[in-house]
Amino acid sequence: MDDIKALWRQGDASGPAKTPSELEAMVRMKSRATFLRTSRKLIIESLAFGVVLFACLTGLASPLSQSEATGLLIAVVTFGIVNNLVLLRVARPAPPERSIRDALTQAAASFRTQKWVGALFTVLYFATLFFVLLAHVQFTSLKILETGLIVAGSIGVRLWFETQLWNRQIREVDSLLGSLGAS
Amino acid sequence: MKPDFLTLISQNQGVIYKISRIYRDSQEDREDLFQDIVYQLWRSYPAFKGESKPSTWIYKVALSTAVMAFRSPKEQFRRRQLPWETIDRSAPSPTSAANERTTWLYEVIATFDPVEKAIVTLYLEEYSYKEIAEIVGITDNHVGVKISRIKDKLKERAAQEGDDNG
Repeated sequence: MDDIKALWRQGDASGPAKTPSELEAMVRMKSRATFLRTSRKLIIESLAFGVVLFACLTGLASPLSQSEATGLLIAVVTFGIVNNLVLLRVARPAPPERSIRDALTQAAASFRTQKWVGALFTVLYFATLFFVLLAHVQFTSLKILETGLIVAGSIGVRLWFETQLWNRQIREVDSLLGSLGAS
Repeated sequence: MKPDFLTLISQNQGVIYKISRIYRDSQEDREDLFQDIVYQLWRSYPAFKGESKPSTWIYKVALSTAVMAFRSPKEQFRRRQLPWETIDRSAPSPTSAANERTTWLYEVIATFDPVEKAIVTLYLEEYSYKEIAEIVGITDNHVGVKISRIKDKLKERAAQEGDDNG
């Protein structure tokens, strides 16, 4: 193994040396990019999801007054923001100075929680909208059935995509924990 | 930004390059991982009390970041589209026999799973079993077992390499 260790030591200078000022600029850029990415995700997801859903449902239930429509839009967007804030809180990574096992264990727990919190919010979100519309708009039986089917379909599609995403992440982290074996 | 942090990272950037090289295939991905690691080191710096050697702290944060750097599904899809030609484990330095051997070693290590990569990196950097156990989060005995398997793999690949060359 000594020759392998000697080879390994030769790989030391395997990249262009960066000056302290370049490293400082890199940290600042990364920090700004992380902040912007999180904010963008929070705002765009909340708004886009809320507005699209709002448009779909109000399209079906045309006789919404101006104040009802505004109230519904505010509720939908607020719901989306709360959902994303809860997910961001749950998704906070382990401090990087902890052991690899600790980081993986925390990631596995966090991914599972995010999966269930996401699913719960999705169901609550659509169900709330459905009942708000039901309470405020004169639906015929056929319209109720139609809206119910759209809501159920939307829940199903969104849950399926979200579950696939989280399951893939969970499998990856579980596989890494498996390769660490029992502690 | 604290100048002692920047000096410390500047002096130890070879460690970060090594880890980026074994955990990522393309130059672009390595640069991304390098940046991620430096950023995580910056985040973790206030908690660094100097109880361990600075290089140990850097290895701990860097390996943890590399193992935990899960890619988004979009990025995984993009990477599947990359042609094999973009995979490059060589260091950007002049070609020589010694350099080819180093590249061979990195190629072999790159085939290990992320946890084995972390263990072999620490082992080759002469960390004790106890220190490796602490950084990875497994027992000393388990480190011994893992290193024994890794040595077997390296010997097997070295023997294959010998056969292929002649």
